Amino acid sequence: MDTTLYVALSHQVAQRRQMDVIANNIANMGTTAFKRESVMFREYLKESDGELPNSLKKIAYVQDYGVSRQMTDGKFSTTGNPFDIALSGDGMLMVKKENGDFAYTRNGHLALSDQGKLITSTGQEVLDDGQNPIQFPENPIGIEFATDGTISAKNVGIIGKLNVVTFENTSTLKKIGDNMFSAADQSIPSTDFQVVQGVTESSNVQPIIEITKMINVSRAYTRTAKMMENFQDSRNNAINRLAKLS
Amino acid sequence: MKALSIASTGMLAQQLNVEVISNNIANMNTTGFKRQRAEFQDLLYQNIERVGAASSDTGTVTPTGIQVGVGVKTGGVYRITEQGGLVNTDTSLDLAINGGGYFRVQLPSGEDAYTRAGSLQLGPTGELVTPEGYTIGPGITVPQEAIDITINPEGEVLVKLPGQIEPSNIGRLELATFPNPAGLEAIGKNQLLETPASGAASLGAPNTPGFGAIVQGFLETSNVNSVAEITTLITAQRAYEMNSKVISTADEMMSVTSNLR
Repeated sequence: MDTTLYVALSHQVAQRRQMDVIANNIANMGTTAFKRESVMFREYLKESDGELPNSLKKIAYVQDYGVSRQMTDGKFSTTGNPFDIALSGDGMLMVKKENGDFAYTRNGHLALSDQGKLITSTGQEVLDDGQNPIQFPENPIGIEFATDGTISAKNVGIIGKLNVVTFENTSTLKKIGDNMFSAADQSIPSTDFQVVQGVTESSNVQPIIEITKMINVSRAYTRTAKMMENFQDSRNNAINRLAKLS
Repeated sequence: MKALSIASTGMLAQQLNVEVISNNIANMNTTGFKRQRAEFQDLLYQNIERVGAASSDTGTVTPTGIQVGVGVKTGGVYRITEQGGLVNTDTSLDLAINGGGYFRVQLPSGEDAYTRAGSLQLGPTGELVTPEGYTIGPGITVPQEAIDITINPEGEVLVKLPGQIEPSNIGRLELATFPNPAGLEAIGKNQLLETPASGAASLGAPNTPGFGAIVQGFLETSNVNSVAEITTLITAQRAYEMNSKVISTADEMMSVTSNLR
């Protein structure tokens, strides 16, 4: 008999989840190469017990079953730093975490470690096409990242080539924080990309879409609460009137 | 409700962003100042339904799990070591570095600091010092009777002494470079310290490969680009507003829940 309330509850739980995801998108509006996410919902059918005609027996609850990521490119913002690169098109830089695992990132804010290795801003070694760290010579001048990922310096020539990879299905990638993804599948070399030097990729969060969604969530949530109240009211009315009759 | 705390991380991040930008704007006319930029990263993710979790006993898996992030954090504030402009001052002890490298400054504590601000002075004993009076490495003393000081692009300090036709070489300034100059620690007064992140300093003569040339009579201006700073300031302010909007919306939703009859 409380089916209405439970259906409404499933909607509210789903809306709260969506609100969390929107909040995360907005909080990461300034995060380098952040990819916006949205929640996917589906109906969850359950047969109710009770004496109802077959067409009314199926009750549809809401269930969130996944978070999808939009992998479109973010806007490029110029920084003028020779070690800032952005990947245009499909691809991610392959990096090695401290524990030896591979991770993947589109955050191209790179630097040199104290040993002259190319690292990300969080200290992971950036790997070359042979999956080895990229070692820079001492005092390199005029560092250039070519569009195919080849790194060269004016005084020493070619230093290495970035390993830019992609995946058959990018939705299986798992976010692990610090702008990195981990993958269970094998990576494949990307062919459809360009390395741009002196810029970083900003997030692809579109504020208007997020704010509109947020208004939607808030209104839907209020509407459902209202519906729950209405249901309670009509039940209370019914109880009162039936009590008077007897 | 997580949205509240997520939005608060967003507001904190944008607040720091505004602070970094205002420091850049405040130092627009600081000699040798390098502009800074805040970099942000996403925080941890909560796996509510794991990617690749089994969705049946026949081996099917969920292609997209539910991962909800918990906000943003500051990855770092880094310096952009782009060359600043050179401005003519017509002062013989104003030096700019055109290219890579830093002057070495001997701090009173005995440590070495590094700077690109080359407005040098003469100390009480005729030494080349910073405006604070700290000796510039390797320590060059200009004789009192010197009439004219010339510093060539190679950093050689040449003085003309009375009664001599040829200027005499009294020493050579040295420059320091680092594997990762962005990792240097700023301590104010235009000075930077070596850190484990920057790597060890390697000293060398100016105008050799990897080291910049000395330009006498010029100072290096800051590399702050006012237009870029103002536009990032506007974006940061709007982002801050939007995060506060998230907080008020989350608050509204919570009040709806608590007002249920």
